[in-house]
Amino acid sequence: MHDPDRRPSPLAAGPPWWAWPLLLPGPLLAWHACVESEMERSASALPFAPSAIAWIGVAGFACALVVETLVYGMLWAARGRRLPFASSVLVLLQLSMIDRVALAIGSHVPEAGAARALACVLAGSRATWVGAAPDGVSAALGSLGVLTLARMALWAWVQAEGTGRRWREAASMVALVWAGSHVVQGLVAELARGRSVVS
Amino acid sequence: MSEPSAPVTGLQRAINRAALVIAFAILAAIVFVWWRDRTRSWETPRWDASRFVTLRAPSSAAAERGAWRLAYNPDCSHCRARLAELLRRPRDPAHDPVLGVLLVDVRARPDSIEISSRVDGGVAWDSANVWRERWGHRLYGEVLVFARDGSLERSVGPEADPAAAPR
Repeated sequence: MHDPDRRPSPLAAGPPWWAWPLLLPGPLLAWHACVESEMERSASALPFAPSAIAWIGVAGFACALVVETLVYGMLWAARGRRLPFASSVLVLLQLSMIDRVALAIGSHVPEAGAARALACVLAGSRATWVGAAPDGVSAALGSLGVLTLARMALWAWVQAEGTGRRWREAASMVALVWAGSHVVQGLVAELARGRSVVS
Repeated sequence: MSEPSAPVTGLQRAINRAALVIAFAILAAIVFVWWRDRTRSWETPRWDASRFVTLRAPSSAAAERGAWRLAYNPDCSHCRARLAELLRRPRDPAHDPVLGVLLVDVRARPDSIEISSRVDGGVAWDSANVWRERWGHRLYGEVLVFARDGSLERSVGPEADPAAAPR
């Protein structure tokens, strides 16, 4: 329920102009480095330099964040609330660094031992895969770990602050959307591989 | 920037509802397509050379041994890398399975085949789309390991080692 006595959140006013050049480059450069290294590792022949193509990947990633924010904006609007768009996108971009940390953990997982178990707890079972997800269930739930839960919790907090609703309500919505989108991800992964095996 | 307390207009509410209905319709469509795909009965892969167009005949030793058949699309850079990687492996020509290439998702018969002559299991063109439409396989770069009698021993993913013992 909406609490009328709550203080207005700074998120609602949107980020000041000077925040953009301070907060945008870091995550974008981090994702660019991630995409570029992945392309250099996996692609044998590219028509352009990996750096140039990696920027296209970063642009696609930024679009995905915008779409994610729009989806939540729609859901909140259906409940009669507005989610501040620009500040939410900017904060979501910062939160994406948690995903980046999870990916980094996945690329430095030892073959066995306690560190491997810890990596699974933090970054989900995908930290131990070689290549693509072995099956649809893994594709759907492979990223579920402490870091993903932390990102969801913080994203819910951002939405609660932006809309003036309780964190629990926002967290329920985030969990529902995450579950739905990852079920779709699992179904699409199964459709893409058909009866082929991945590993 | 909108204030969180600003009212949502009727038009915005209608647009949002329409978008949500579309999103749920897409979700339902994906679930339906997945369900159709999972409940369809597929053939178990079996190597029958008569179902494919032979573009390059296998070596005479091929009939005596099993074969690795690589699902290969000429436009796929990963397929080329996968074939190069399989050819780099040390193999015992007297005992190891032969390595063949199955051209998949190629509409017209290729004019020329740019595939190494070291591919001793021959090159076949899946003109009838058996690999995708009958077997239900979709990952380029996978290796199908067939026994000497043509029965499928196992499928090996695009990143996995076909020589490794099956798990």
